[in-house]
Amino acid sequence: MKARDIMTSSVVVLDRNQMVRDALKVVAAHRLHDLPVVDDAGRVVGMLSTFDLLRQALPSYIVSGDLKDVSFAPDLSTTYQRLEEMGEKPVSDVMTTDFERVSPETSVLEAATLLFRRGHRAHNAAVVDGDGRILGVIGIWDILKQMDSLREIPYGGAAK
Amino acid sequence: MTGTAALVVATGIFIATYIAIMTEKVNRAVIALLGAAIMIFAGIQSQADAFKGIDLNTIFLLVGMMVIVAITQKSGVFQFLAIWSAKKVGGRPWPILVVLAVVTAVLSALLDNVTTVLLVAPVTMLIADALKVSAYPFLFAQIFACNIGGTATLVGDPPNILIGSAAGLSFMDFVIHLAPVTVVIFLATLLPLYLIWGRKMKVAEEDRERIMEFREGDAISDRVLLWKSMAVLAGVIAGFTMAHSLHLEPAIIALTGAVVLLWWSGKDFHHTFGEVEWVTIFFFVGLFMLVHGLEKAGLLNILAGQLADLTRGNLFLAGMVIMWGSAVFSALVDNIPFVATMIPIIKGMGPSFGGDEAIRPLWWALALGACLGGNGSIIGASANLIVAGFAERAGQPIRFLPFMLLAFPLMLFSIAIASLYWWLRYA
Repeated sequence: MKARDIMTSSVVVLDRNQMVRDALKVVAAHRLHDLPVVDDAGRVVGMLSTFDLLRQALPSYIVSGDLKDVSFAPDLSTTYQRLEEMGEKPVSDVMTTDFERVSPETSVLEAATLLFRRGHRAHNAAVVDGDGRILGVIGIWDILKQMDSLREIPYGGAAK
Repeated sequence: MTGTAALVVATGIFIATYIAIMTEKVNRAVIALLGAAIMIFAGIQSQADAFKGIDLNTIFLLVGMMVIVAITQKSGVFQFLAIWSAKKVGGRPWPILVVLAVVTAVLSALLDNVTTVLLVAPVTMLIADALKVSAYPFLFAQIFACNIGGTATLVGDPPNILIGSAAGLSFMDFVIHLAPVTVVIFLATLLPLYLIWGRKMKVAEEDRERIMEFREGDAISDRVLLWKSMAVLAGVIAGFTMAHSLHLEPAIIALTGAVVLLWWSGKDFHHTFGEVEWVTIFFFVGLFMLVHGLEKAGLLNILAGQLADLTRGNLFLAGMVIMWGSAVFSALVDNIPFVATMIPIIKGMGPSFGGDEAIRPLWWALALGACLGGNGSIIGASANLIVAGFAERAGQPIRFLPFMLLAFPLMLFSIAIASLYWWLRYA
């Protein structure tokens, strides 16, 4: 099986100039972990992932692993401050440009392996044509729902 | 190979190795071992000779202490002490800077400098964040505290381990001769820091309250391990203080402490030994062999003679040249190879000054210069580099020049105090 056979083509995309606050409303409505970000020509330029947003909200010395245990610390107001600041930024400022992109001809096995290698950091890979334009996404869910009775559940459909 | 040819070849190999170490392109342990091997291939010394140069007391003292630290730090005691002391002073910023520096200095005096800053710096950053103040003054003070504290004892800083082992100086010798002046230097260093930063530090009442909300007890991840490590550490330090009268060397005390703690704590042997800084250990091994080759070729004797001639047998002059020279040198390059090279030179000066007893003050001059000199720049000591690396990852990088602009004069200030002390006590 190829990516094109199981990918979700009716994909929700974000505009790179959109504010993060608005983009997150889209994320919330569809209950998605990450969404492709496109430019005016429809080319995928990044991925907005909730994991990346969490990473950016945390103090950098926690992200770097220097401070592993914070059980002794009270809540830090700087975290909320960073969240507020993040909301006002354009999506292109906080999206990750290091994301998985596959061609429609990529095998499902390879796509699944790429996503697995990313760990919990990415749930979806962008399926793009030769010019980098978005054709769809292939996510962990697209692979899991190859179980017989699940195939008809739409992308982001859990919200309904 | 003997005579002038050996002298020239050995010096060439040594200088090339030294430069390669300074450029930091290749791991320093690899370079030192390679240099030592070339020295043997070139026929400067045999393998047996090279191995004789390895001071096993230094090597095993380092390994023993590293194992003890690797286990102890898992208890969370470093973080506990940092938070506990910050709360003791009511969460006010300047007093926090001072107590965190005191904690850093004391831990560095008894344990490894690098581990101390590696564990205290992140907590410092968290505290600074909670207070909404810049972490830079705190980290700056910790770098100084770490190197000053390390100067105080035999096990505080690698140069002291080298000197103590080579010159047969005991743990108590270091405490008696160096600890008093390091306390003075520590306090004197705080004064300029207060004038520059301390008096301007202001925080809101609510942020101060937040520090009081820290729960230091939760930082202790393993209470049983904490008590076991503290017991072993106390035993090791007691052992160090008594070693001389028991005719024991510090290495066996540290190694015994390490294996007792390994067994008692039930920590995995392979994993714990994996945390020993083998790069440092093999760097020492390589340096020892390298310096021994240089000694064998006769260069260090010549340098010792010249240094003795230059100072005309005047102890004061010799002490000052060694202390200030070591300080400036150690600020810019790694002080470990420098001290390893200086040791045979100072030993060689013994006859001109009237024996081993007579040159004892020169060892203190070397220790003070080399250890305190490490404060002179961000690359002056390994602990500085660790803090710089951490600050960089935390998004508040410490720049080379701005750091040096304050650190170098402050380091010279500490050397001036050390010189005064040395002159009053020994010259």
